[in-house]
Amino acid sequence: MKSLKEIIKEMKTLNKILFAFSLILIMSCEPNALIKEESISNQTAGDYFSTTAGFEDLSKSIYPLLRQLVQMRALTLNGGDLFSRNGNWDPESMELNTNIFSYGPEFTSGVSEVQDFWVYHYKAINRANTVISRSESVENPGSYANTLSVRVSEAKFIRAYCLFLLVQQFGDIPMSLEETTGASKEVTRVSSVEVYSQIITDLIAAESILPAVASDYGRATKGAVQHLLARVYLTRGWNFKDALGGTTADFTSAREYADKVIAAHPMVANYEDIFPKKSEDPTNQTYGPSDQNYKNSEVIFSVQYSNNPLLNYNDTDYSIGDQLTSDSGNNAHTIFGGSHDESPGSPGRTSDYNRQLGYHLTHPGVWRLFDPETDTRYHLNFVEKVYAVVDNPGFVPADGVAPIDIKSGDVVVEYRDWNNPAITSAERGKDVGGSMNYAVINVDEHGKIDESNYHNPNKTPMMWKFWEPGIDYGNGFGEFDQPLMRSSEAYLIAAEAIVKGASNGSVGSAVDYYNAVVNRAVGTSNNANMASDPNDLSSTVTKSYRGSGSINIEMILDERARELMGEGLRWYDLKRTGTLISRSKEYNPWIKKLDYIQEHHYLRPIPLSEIDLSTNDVIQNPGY
Amino acid sequence: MDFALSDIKLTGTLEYYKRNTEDLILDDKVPNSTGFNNVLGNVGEIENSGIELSLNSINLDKGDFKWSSNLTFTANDDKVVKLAGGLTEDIGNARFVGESVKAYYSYMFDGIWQLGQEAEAAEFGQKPGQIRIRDLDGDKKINSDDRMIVGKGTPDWTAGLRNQFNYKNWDLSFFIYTRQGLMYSNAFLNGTYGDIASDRYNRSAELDYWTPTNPSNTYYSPVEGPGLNSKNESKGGTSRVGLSYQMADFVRISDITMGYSLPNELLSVLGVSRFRLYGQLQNPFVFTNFLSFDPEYNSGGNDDDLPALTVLFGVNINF
Repeated sequence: MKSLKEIIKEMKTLNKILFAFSLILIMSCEPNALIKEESISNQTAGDYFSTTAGFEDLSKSIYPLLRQLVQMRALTLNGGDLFSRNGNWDPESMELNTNIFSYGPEFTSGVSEVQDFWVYHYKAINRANTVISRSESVENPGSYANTLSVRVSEAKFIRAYCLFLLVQQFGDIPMSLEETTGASKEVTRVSSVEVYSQIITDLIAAESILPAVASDYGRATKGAVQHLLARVYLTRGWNFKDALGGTTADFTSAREYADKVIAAHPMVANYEDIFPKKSEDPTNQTYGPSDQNYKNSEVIFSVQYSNNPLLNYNDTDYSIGDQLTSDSGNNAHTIFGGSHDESPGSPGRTSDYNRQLGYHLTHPGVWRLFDPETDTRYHLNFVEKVYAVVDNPGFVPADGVAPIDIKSGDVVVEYRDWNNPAITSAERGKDVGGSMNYAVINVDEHGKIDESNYHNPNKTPMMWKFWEPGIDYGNGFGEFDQPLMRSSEAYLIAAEAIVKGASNGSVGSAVDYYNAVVNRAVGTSNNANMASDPNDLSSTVTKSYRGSGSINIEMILDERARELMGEGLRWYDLKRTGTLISRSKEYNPWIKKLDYIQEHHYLRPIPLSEIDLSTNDVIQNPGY
Repeated sequence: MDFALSDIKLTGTLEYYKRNTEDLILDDKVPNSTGFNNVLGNVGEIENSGIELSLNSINLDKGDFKWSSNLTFTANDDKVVKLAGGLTEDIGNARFVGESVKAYYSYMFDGIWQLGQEAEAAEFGQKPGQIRIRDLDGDKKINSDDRMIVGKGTPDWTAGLRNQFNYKNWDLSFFIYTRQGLMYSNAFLNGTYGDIASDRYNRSAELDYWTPTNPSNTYYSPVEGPGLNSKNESKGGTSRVGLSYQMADFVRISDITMGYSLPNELLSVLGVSRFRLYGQLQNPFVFTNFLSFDPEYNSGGNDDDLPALTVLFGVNINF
């Protein structure tokens, strides 16, 4: 039997429920609520995008995909002179571990990296086309008319940006300029000449309309268009295989547009200020996400990320694209290799060093392009010392060696400067019979050193230019607004254009433009010495990379490597200048050893799926 | 057709059908340069034809012993009759006139390169121990021109047989069924479990992989690797793709039940109308050559999608 108390308690609960019900009844009896009905789900694209508010929303859709486009680095960084996917650069074992970007037999039209690149860039183009096509059906734009033409120009910029990347990768390409509204399976490759002239037409139209400063930071601006025009003219001027319709006048245009960019976007004084600030020793990390500021005069256009996880979403289509991270945010801090999880004093999977996947490992020869003493970019790019984050007492450096106590903050691995290798046993680690309490790795040992208690075999160091302190451990989550265009590149575009025949510009001769970039990083009075022989990794003979008298394309490519390393331009630089094969064979241990690369690799294969799905005959690029 | 034969107490039905589906609406992949992956579209016409047979028989009914059977058999042939746009083949969507709607268009596995075939393998840049793919056009290169229809994802026929035996108070039944002619791209081998040439620790001991002393023709050498390419087609790989298409035929005994009902005299003592003790085995046996956990569920081994072996003991009581 229930006690009276319990029954009263239950009744109280019941009363509360009844009260809540009556409230609902009262509310729903409010007279207006019964007759007011707004059917949001019956809205069609045609209805909504023809309103000014709807079109404004539509126009925003061209930006989120940039997060994906910039993550597809396999075709832009690997397969050239700076980065490779796999380490293990021991010539004896390399044949067993071929990867597709040594251009070996597995580099076919079926590779997902090529497929993804194609798919996402055409997705972005169709979004831009949708904005452009639907701009004509916006009803009564009124005071929105100006903004509307700005939005159309932004879309033209994005379309030109994607077409420019595709035409460089694939040559002649399909080029639809209108929103896809039917399921046509005809695939028509349009000549590169036509693609370039469309890109330039779009950009010149956009240049006259876009403002110098956008209404929201991150949108395309006049400066972004001009910078892209400088790149496009420079590339067309080189006129790959005489197939782009370029002339020497293009170099003059490239220099002129570079000058416009330089005038409006001064370089910042310190190179480090462009990238995430961090301390080398994670146990003494003085920076965090709130200390970062990625907006400055030098960055002209960048992919926007956010410190709000809800807004740091990646617009990934999971039915395709297995190389793209499923984690949100910028992933540039996790993909340049050199994990130290196995080293003594490693904290495991924490943000101290965060994740380091070996997708783009820096070739040892690349370290030798920098002056370690004077070039601020060297220290910013490379982790020279790895620190223990937790104590590791009684660590045994090698069999038969007395244990040592490693404390948090102690160095556990040192990567030596190329011009100061550790030679005597006093300079080497205890793991190899030396006397240092940490492992010491010389540049000529990167990627092919024996296993030790301090590190895995074939250890490669970290490249942490884009590394961010204090963010969650994982494959992404980064907040760094990845720059796609910086004005220091405009200096190097102008220098290259002048070397190729353009007249001197506002900064002066090619050397003047070139040295402006070198001097910003090195200082005007310091030496700037790089290794003179890219092939002999142990040679310490130097040459200066400061320009004097005249400069050449090789020097500009070296400087672009130093200045723009990892910024997604390298493969295009090598292709444009016709140095893909020669430079890759000098710097890329895979390409050098395996020797698969051939002239036809200057173009990528049209993805197999595109050929399979087209109802007409699509001619594949030669060699695939 | 329904029929009954009284002397052997056989009843059954036999049906023949042929059904055409016009204007079939399916996901249709389109060239990606449109900015889209696929649309829902009218892809063509398909035809399904086949027979369905069902037989019930009492094979023996003498005294205390009774044996009865139930057999079902279905055979179905599905094929594409027409493709939209008058095409005879749509490689990207793997649809071909005259072939199954679930045709597989891929590389044909031709065994493993063996010792003594070094020179021939070298023409393809391969070594003994690696996967051999059929070179259809004979150009000594394995590329997209060497793809063919290697199989289909629909069965030729399926059959099931239940037998029931009763002897005095004992009863025994089992159910056996089979599926023939269906192929899977083996999800278990496609995943990391089949990736025996890399430095993974989850190598499956069950795989009959090639070594110089074990000239297997079913799986590649962990030392030399699959050859040609990496693990899957999207990575440019062709060899493991070829290997992955395997027949998933099987015969399965999915149920064995044995029971004992207490005799009537005991029932009255207990005051119940029926008291049966039984033991049941669910999924005790499967016979197959498919290299995976289970031929019926093409599992990658990462999901909980596998049938379990269940041993059950129970009591039925009716009051």
